Amino acid sequence: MARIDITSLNKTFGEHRILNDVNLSIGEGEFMALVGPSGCGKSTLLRMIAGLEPASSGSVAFDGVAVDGKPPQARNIAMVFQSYALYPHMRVRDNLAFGLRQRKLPSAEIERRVLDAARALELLSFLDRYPRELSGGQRQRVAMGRAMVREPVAFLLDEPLSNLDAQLRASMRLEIRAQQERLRVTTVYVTHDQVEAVTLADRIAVMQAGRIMQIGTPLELYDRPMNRFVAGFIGSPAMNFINVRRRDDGVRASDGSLIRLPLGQANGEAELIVGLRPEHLSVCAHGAVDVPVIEGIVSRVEQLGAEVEIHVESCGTRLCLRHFGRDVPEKGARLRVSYEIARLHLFDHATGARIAEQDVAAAIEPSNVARDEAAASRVRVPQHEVDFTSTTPPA
Amino acid sequence: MTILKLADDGRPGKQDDVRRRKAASPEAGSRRIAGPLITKRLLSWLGIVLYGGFFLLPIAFLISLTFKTRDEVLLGQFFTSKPVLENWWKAFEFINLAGFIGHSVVIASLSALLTVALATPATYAVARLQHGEFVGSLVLSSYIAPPVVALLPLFFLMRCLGLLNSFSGMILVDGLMNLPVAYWLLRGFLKKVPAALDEAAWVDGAGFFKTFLLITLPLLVPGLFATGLISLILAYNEFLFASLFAQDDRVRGLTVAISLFQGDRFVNFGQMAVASIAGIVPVYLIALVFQNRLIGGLTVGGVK
Amino acid sequence: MNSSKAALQVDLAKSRGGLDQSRLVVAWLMLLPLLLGLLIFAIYPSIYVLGLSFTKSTLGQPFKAYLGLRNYHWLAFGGDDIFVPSLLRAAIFSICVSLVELGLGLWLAVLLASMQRLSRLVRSILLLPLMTPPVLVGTAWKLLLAPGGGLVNGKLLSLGIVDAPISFLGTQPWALLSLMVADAWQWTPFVAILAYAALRQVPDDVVEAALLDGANATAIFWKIQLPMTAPLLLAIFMLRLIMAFKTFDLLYILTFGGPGASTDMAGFAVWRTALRNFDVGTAAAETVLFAAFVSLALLPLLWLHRRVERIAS
Repeated sequence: MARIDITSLNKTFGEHRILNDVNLSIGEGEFMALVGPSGCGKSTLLRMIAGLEPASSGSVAFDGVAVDGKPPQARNIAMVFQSYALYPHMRVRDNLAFGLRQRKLPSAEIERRVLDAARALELLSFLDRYPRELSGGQRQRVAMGRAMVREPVAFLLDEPLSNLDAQLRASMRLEIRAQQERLRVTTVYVTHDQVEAVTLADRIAVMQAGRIMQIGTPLELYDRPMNRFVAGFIGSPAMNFINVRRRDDGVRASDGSLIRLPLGQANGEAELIVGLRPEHLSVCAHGAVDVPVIEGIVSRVEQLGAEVEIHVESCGTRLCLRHFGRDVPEKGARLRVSYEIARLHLFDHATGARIAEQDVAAAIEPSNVARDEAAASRVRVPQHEVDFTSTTPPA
Repeated sequence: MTILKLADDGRPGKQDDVRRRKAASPEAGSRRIAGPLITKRLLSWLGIVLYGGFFLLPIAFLISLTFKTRDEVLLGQFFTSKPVLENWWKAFEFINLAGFIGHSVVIASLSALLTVALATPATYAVARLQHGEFVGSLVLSSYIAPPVVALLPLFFLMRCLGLLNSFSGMILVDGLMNLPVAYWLLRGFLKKVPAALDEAAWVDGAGFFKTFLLITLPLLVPGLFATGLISLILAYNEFLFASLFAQDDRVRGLTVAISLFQGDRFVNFGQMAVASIAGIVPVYLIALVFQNRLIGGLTVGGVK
Repeated sequence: MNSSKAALQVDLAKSRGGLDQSRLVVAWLMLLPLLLGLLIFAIYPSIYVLGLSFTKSTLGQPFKAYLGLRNYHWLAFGGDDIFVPSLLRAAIFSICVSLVELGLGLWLAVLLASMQRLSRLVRSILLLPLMTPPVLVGTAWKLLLAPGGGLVNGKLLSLGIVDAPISFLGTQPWALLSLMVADAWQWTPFVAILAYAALRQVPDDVVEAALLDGANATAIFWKIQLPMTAPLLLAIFMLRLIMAFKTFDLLYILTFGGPGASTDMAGFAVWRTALRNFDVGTAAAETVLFAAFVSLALLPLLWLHRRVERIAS
């Protein structure tokens, strides 16, 4: 397995900038997921690692050796395509063996590897069938098997589960993770489904419009999203966002509701975005006092069985909160929603960047406009300066 | 994740409206359309029959001519009262008709092979290996240019190389002549083979040419066949180059032979008709047997 | 960390941003046969003809004497009064015939589209005119239109419409019209097959939505199917136009350019100059002018096609 280093990778196609200065390091044996909405460039990035697309500038390196200019044949990587790309005119057995035959391995070895992979993926009874005779799930496993028999330096998977139905997807997810842990191969996994990424990957790179927005472990992305985009992308149901204005007298939403921020936030005029996850909002119990609360009107109630999603019109927007229990408010009722201040996220309205918690000493001075401006500008972190795309993988 | 989507105010959503309308319309619609529909169908059939008659007419007339004597022909009617068979064997006697047809078949088949062999790798290189995009424009320009442009230069070249009035010369000329058509047809067929298959093979370690041979070609076979058939028919029907480069009886093909029946000399229409009908039999047989492939080839190439 | 980054900088400097070399080599090797073929059939002849056009040459002796632009001068402004009209005639013929075939072919395609699927019989009848050698098409129509023994004249006489047979191929305007009819006979099925495929490409759900909205078949055709297939139909028209400019075999058999030189069309005129008048130099000049003329005639169409494509998408 190999360490993959991507440095200053750019790709332009005519007028469009598909990838914009991408830097990424994937450690040996690490499972890295590339997530983002369609068109963000994640598949292009994967294909450039594979050697299927040329870079406009920048470099891809395996174990420190640049592989630019090397054709895919020479990179010893294996890829699972979204469409599986099984050779339709060959049986499953030959599909699996094709790559090994190209490397001129002895036939005994080929036979052994094919049988091992088939056993691991429960394909033994299908070895002599043609791809057109298989179901979607079976084809997907053949595609996986074709990658596995190669014992490559890296696995590249391009949305391999997106063509499967939900139940199959869930079981295949476990399968993929199990195989990866068994083989310990460096894996790069592209998906638009953040649930897949969060459950499978060691680290996730979130992409948007050709840039990497943040790299981190699933929990890091969940707990400390570095910008509004990542905050809204990770977590399901998505984080609630409230546009607020910070004035001397506090932070207010467009309908006037006052929102309490955690200690340590600076003062001064600013346009901000408050982010609160549905799981950090709760129905306020009657009679609770001195709890941060916002008021609103229930607009919709969705019963999911295990939980209830309550949609509340408040703060000039629609908030979603997750509620456990069957005592559900009625539609149209007034509701008091409490929130966990410690779990509140704050983003700059203009740049979308996270506003970091400041040390307490600097912030709790009485208002001095000039100093507050300085403090606020220190806090307002422009995206390109903060290295939240830490390129070093965890130890 | 939500199980049931209700509209904001609890009424059934827009999709229910459409479903209701769709459910209602077939019955109401068919009752409404029934009357005009029948006459419309009749008119369509009438139109098709008229077209069909028009397209069959000349060939049918030729066939009827083959059974007429000289005097019958002059009457200018379609049917004959006393059909004769003598035209048929006389025509084959008069000129080496069978031979000429044979020449055409041989030259057309081999040139079709040449055309496909030259065009297929090039199409792959441009489409999958993404080099040589200029070839498309070059091919298009050479297609737009009338063949008469190449007539004289090729004449001098062939004479220089001693290829005039030879099978190899005709096969070469016909083979090259159809390159543009073959290129565009094959491009259309190649688009139907997913590029992901090639990429999977490359990732698996197969070289670029090997992938072309082992993965793409087997899947391209129907397209190769259709392209070959169309090239064959085009070469068989060709006249201009054949008239100049294959005049000798040893090499002459059908189209030139038929043209010999022209001129101001008095001509036996019946025998000329026989030559014509006999000559197109090979092409028509191919067309009838392989009509699916041919129409598929035409539409793939023409309609992208 | 810093040292590995430095190492990567060095590698960056060496990195080539393009596709790898082996791919390039293989691609060029696969292109080579086609390119050689085009060299022989397209590039070499173009250059050769250009050279010939500046000379006096015969079939026996190419490049006998250098004439400069005299051939062109003679054709365009000087004594020749056959070639330029033949160019114009070729253009008129091609455009008319292509328009007619487009209309008839589209109509036929619409008729066919009303059937669920094309029966084998219908398909066979459609294919036959296409597959027929143009020489044969000429022969068949020559026989059909012959004054003595032709079916058309025979029917006209017996129905009393005319007193004496009409020489369709020997008098104008019948000669040019006969050419057009014969050409339409051969190529309308071609247009019909392509137009049919184009019509079937219109997605079913668009048509269904229109039906639900209350449109009848005519409205659907004119407002939905036609606009959506317009780029394809234009492409078919252009294809037919290009092919029509190359008409030779039909001319040769049906009228041989006659009566006189009144159905002479550019390609045939060139052939006659070269192989009947044995004036190869002039023929070469005619060829160059012809090729230039065709390209010029097609340019506005290419522009139109691009515009239509942009509107339709």
